[in-house]
Amino acid sequence: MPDAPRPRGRRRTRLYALTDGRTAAPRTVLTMDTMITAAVGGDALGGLPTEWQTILAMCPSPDGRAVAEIAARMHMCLTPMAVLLGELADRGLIRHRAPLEGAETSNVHLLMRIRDSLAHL
Amino acid sequence: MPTFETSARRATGPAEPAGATEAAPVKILVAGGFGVGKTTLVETISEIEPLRTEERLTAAGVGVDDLDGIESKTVTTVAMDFGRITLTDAGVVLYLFGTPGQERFWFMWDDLLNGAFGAVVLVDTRRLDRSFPAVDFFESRGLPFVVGANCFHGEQAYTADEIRAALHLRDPETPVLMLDARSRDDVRDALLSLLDLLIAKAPATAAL
Repeated sequence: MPDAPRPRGRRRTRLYALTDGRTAAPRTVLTMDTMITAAVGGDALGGLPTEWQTILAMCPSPDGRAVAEIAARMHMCLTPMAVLLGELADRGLIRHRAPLEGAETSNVHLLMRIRDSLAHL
Repeated sequence: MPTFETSARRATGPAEPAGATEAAPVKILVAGGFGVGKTTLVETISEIEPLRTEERLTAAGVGVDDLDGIESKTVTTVAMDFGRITLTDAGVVLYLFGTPGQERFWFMWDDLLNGAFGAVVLVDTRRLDRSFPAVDFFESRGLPFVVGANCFHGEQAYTADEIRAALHLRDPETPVLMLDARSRDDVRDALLSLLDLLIAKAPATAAL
């Protein structure tokens, strides 16, 4: 569940304050190709910083977006965006799916499914 | 050495519930020298206008000896263009990342290579040497790749075998394709060739 809305009257927290100014890394560490999907929507967005709302509106379930794509669309460098998204993940505002790798690259069935889908482009 | 990937796997929070319907991301790199057509290739096949993202790399992140005598901590910004192909039937989203031209910084950037399925190395046969760093890098890291010889003006003076020989490819079976980065069919064929290569390598990988 998202935290309670910020007290009214406080200045909105700027992105840099949520990233560069951090002293502790978020528990969730994301890579540039991790897929992000909003875990909340609609009314739940109300009390959140507008930047967060913009991010959440960018990746409504089930249309996830990679960290790199969100960074590009928000005009932020990768690392600060990954940290910010980690913060959102810690707060339960987003879901994240790690890229396929390792075992999957030897998963012939998956590779053939990808190949077939590509062939039909 | 712990990487971002291993950290991510330990990550807590509401990650990937069983049976999640969200597509899984798959990363494919598009490499090659400056001006060889990487962004054109991405643009040709991507379902979105190519996006540009930047990363600031510091020497503090380098796990190797100093770079060219640079002693103090340095910061450099590298940029890359990328696109996306959603393959609904396969349940994946392909992200095609055009690697930054400054190859010497790739070694500082584990996140770039980690988790990549494979790569397409674009070469311009008029400037073949510009593609050597990408070939060396992927061969040293063991990332499967195919070579695409971009035929500017629809011309290609060399055969695939000549290009393969000139690149000194470690694996003589590495596919070398003639392509026009502006042709959707050509780019798709290059990706199909990469998938064929991955499929051919899969049993060997699984046996490790």
